[in-house]
Parts: sequence; C-alpha cells; structure tokens
Amino acid sequence: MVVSLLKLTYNELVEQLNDDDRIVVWTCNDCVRYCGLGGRDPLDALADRLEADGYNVIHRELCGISCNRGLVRNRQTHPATKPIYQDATVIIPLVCREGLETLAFVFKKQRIIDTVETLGLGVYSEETGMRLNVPLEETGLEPSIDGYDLAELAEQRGLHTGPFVAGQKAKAK
Amino acid sequence: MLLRPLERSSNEGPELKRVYLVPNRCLGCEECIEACKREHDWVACNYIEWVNRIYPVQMVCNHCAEAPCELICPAGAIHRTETGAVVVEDDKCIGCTLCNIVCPFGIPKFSEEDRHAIKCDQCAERVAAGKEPACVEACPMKALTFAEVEDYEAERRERTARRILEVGTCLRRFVAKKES
Amino acid sequence: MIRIEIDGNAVEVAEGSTVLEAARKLGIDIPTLCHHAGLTPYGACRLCVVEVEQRGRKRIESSCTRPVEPDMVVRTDTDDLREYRRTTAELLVAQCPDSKPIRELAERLGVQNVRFEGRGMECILCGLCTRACQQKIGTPAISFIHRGVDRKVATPFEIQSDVCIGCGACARVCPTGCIAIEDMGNKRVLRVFNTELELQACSECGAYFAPQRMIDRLKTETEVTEGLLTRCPACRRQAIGAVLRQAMR
Repeated sequence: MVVSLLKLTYNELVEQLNDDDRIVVWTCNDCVRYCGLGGRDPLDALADRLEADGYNVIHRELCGISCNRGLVRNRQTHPATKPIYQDATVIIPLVCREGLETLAFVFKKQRIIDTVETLGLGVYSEETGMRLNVPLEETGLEPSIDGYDLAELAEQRGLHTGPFVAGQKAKAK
Repeated sequence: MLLRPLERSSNEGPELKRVYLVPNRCLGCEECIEACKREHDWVACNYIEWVNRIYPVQMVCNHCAEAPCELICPAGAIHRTETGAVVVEDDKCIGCTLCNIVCPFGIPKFSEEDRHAIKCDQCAERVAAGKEPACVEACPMKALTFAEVEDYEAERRERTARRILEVGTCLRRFVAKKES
Repeated sequence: MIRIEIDGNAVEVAEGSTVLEAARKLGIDIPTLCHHAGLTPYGACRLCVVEVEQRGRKRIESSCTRPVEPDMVVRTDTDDLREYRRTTAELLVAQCPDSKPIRELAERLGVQNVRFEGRGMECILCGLCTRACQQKIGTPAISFIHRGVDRKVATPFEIQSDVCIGCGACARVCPTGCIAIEDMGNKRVLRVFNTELELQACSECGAYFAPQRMIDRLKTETEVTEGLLTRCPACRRQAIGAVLRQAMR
C-alpha cells in the first residue's frame, strides 16, 4: 500500500483558503485510510471543522480508489454530482500523490490543495499499523523488511501523521 | 389486525436477480455506498461490515422470499414489485421501525429526516432501463454481481474449479521437485 | 376505472380512490396536513379543499375524503380556494403558533399576519397519530379525549400507557412535530403522553435498540426467531457478515 504523510497542519491548510471558496473535501478510501489520513471519519472531522470555522463546504466526497481515473471522472460526469463540481472552486484532497495527480488531471478548473507527501510503499498489519517498507528514491531511505514507523518518519521529515483534525475516534480497521 | 402474523406468502413471481458478493475481491472501499447515495438522494441503503476488523463484507437487502419486513409492516408500505424486489413506499410508511427490528440481516434504516424507512429497491429505475444496480456497476473490484442464483452458482463453480486447478499444478510441481 | 377532469387534465383512477389521489397522480400539489397515504382519510385540516363540479353544481369539498365519481370536474386552484385555504391556515397558525412546519405551510399559502388570538397549542388535532396507533399498530394507546376546546390527544387518563409499544409511529406521522421521542439511557420517553418505556439492550454490544414491550409483543404475536430479537441490527449485520465471509470465500 502507498504510505503517505501530511505536509500541512490544519492551520496551514486554512491559510490557503479564501472565505468565498466553495470547498469540496475529498478523500480516498484505500491506502490513506490505513495511514490514518483519509476515510470516512477523517473526512467528516475535517469538513465539520471547516464548517465550524465558517468555510463553505459544499460537498464531502468519498472516492473508493482515487488513483483510478475512471472513478474520479465518474464524479465529474455523474448527474448527481456534476453540478457540485461545476460549482466548486477548491478541492481539499486526502489522497496520496498518485491520487492528487489523477484529481489534477480530471478537475482542471478547481484549485487542488497539495496536502500530502507520499513516501513509498508499506505494509499494514493490525499489530503495528502501517509501516513504510519500500521508500521512494528521493527520500534517501533504504528498503527495510521491518519497516519504518510512521510517527518517527513524520518527526524526522517535518511531516505530520493523520488525521488532519481528530474527530470522533476513527474505527480501527 | 396489528403486527400481522408471518404466514402470508409472497414467494410468487419471476426468479429474482440479486446482488451477490465475492468477499475475497472486496477492498472495503465503500464505492458501492457512494454509488447508492448518488442514486438515492444521498441516503445509502447498503453497508460495509468489517469482520474481525479486517475483512470487509458488503451487505445489502436480500429481498427475502418471505420477507419479514414485508410481512410485519403494519401500514402495508413494504411490498414486492413485479421484478421481485421488496421495496418501501415512502409515503405510506408510518415510521414504526418494526421492519428494522425484525430484519434478520439488520438492513432497513430509518431516516428521521425524511420520516420513512429506507431500504434497497434494487435500483428499480436502472434495472427497468436494463442497467445493473448502482452498487454493482460502481464496484471497481467487480466483487458484486447482479445475477440469478443459477448464474451466480455457475460462475462460482467455475471460479472454484480454476482455483483447484491452480493449487493442483502447484502441488504437482512441488512433488516433482522432491522426487528428483 | 373512473375518468375525471382535474384543472382541465383528464385522469383515470380506480374506483374508490379519492380526488386527492387522482390529483397527486397528475402531479398537482394540493396542500395537506392530516393526510397520510398509509392511513384512512379523515378530513381534519381542511387545507386540501377543492371545487367539485357535478351536474352543473359546484361545491367546495375536502379532496382527501371525496371519492371520485364519473363526470366530475375538479378545480384545485381558484381564487375562492386560495382564500379559503389562507383563512384555514391562519386559524391553524393561531392554534399552534410555535410549530415550524405549520408556519412554513401558512407562509406558502400566503398568510401574512394572523388575525386570530393564539391558543398556544402544539397539536392541530388532525388525528394522524391516533389513526396510526389504533389502525396500524393496533394498540389503542392514544386517542382523543375531552370535547370542544378541551379536545386533545392523550393516553387514557393521561397517565403512563400500559399498551404503548414505543414504536414512535405517532411522532413520525405528526405534521407539526409536537410529539417528541427521547431515548435517555435505557428509557424511551414520550413526554407528551406521560409515558416511559424500558429499552432492550443488545446482548452483544449493549446498545439500547428497541423498547422491551415492542420486542415482547413481537415474540408473542409473530413467529420471528427469538434469538434474532436480542441483537441490535448492527450486531446482526456483523454476525451475518462473519458467516458470509466464512461461507463464501
């Protein structure tokens, strides 16, 4: 699975938003869910917080696999969601870099906030949670069978583990 | 009068196509739920259950032969359509939540906002137009199939046969190595 | 099948259906408060009035209780009817000034100011709750009591009901939203009816999911498998999911 960490904190995210933005909060529900950044609960928590802070969240989108261009495009063309995406000005994606590129490819008119840094591939287990095993070259880390702990990585590299906004406790999955 | 005893049979009509799940293929991505929401005005009537917290199982109404929800509904708001699906008539529902309580699978929901029960209608409009239900079409892993029992069973037999074949060849290779 | 004309559109409906049903079939919106498709018509709110012309005579009648007859000509939106509905809505607002759905409907019908003195009730005595409870659930837990201005919906003697199963149908059909159901811990409270019911806890997760009395009643009067009723719907889904997972690898 793809291992990702957050680049921004909530406050840094909010700095990139304007008051008149019509925001879609988007999450992938696959790898990022196991990393603790995305999925239904973090999505709702972030959207609730933004709404509480007075931002105009027009839609919460959960896309099963956001690096699948067909599924992303489906949102753009489906009669139920088409008007929403024509109206939206900003998408806050909780997806890995692959998903971000897919989103940027499909939604050309909207501003897509880059929130996530992808570090490589990892393995999820129930005991240890997500661990990074095959880092990307640019990270300068060696591949490791035991894997790197995400919290340590985040500290070393100035990143943050998810979720953006701690809402109700995310179900351990 | 009240809570009608479960005796009335509603088991007639054409063989019903149902949504079947191949659990091994399911990622738990909830794309089916999102598709259901888009189709049904942002209220989903299917679920992803996490068995042992790691195995996702998609659950949706089975449109039972003698559906307890249909039999229990005191207002007669739940009925079987010509295609064999068990559906709720929204405006007849009085909101007693009995369907929710008697469903052996725990599927019908109650919407406090719309004040009526919500359950799978097998995407009546889509199926009438010759399409598959929204959840089946949306599944990126093709874990859901919309078929009659026989067709699904045939497909499953074939799948299992293929697996047996795979395992068989593996074993043979292993044994051959040892002997040499 | 009977053919009638509504607002210049011909429509064919089954014998015995009402004018309101015929109008809804045509997509004509007639405002109603006391009508529910699952319950017998009652004609309490008088907002659904229409003008029925038959054999050259015109009458104003409530469409929810008026069965269709051959050669009926119905008008649903004349000046007279609008005036009639406006006055009725005004009276309803006067009856329960705090009810949001009523005020919204009145606004839609063109009520600007209410000339009548308020009674400060929350109920419009439409009888939907009593009909749902008596006809459908089959429990005479609530009914109208008293006469005239004192008329209201309550349990017998206005004390804790011993037959209410706590299903909440009364609250869900209520057009004014004046019946509140609160689940507090292991108690379900219907404050308007002075009734408290014990809720049953799920044998697995411990969540309270249904009133004890409803479960008891289902056990005695239907053939629902008994083990089923001890688990909450969410736990049932979990259990079935586990079985499916095992069986359908």
